[in-house]
Amino acid sequence: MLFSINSGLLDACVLAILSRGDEYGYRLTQEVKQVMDISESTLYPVLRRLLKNGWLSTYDEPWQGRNRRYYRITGEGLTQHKLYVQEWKEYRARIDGIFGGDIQT
Amino acid sequence: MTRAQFMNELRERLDRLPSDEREEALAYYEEYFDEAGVDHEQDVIRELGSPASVASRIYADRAVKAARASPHNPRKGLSAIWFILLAIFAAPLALPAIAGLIGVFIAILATIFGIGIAAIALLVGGIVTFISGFVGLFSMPATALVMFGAAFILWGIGKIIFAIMGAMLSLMSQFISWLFDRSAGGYHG
Repeated sequence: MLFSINSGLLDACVLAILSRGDEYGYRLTQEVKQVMDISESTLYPVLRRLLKNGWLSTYDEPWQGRNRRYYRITGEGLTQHKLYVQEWKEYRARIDGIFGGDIQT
Repeated sequence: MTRAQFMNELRERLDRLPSDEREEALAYYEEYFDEAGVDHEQDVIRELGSPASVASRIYADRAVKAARASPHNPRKGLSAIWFILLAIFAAPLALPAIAGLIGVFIAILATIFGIGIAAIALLVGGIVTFISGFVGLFSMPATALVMFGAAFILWGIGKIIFAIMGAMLSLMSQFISWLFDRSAGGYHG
């Protein structure tokens, strides 16, 4: 991808995915990878950071004789998610304005 | 490299982390391998890169966090330096580049350390001057007042230097986080 991904955008995407339902690490990584060109090792520090901020919580669920660690968005995380969405709308509007009328959304 | 080799090396590389954090990170990657399935172990290893690069990201993230938590707390500052160094040592760069980087960082750290010692000397000097001012307060009040003044000046300069030191530390960790942000977005696999 031509545009670089900063950590804020990555945080925002993880929160957005989790706002639609709980996920475990592997699937979450695959989902983020569908939209962003990230390395598989990128997401662990991100998840840790979001957990430390209190935006996510975890719980374990047994799966085929081992545990899967699920990530769930917290109330604070949802607030943050809405903040990111709002910021993104404003940002996108400004960029679209510069790019001109070519962009249909 | 097999999954077991990868995980063993990652464990060794993470040995500077507190044990609960290390186990958490290892559990995450064990689960990751489990989810990908036995057939995809080599894919996962290729995608993750080396254990060194995985470890380096974790250390880098910690360094940034330690520095952001309280940039003016010297103890936190020291732990940030520690994790910056670990991140550098664990980074999968060419050896000459690492050697150069380490040289530069050691020079910067030595400078910061020297400044810190100077600041402590000033603070101690300020306290001593203040106390000696007290001792002479009644026998020679004018001299004592001058000494009080000098003590406050020393103390003030010491505090300013400490603040500069804190700013240098946080600047350095910001630079590190910028470096890793770039490399996180810059390449794939």
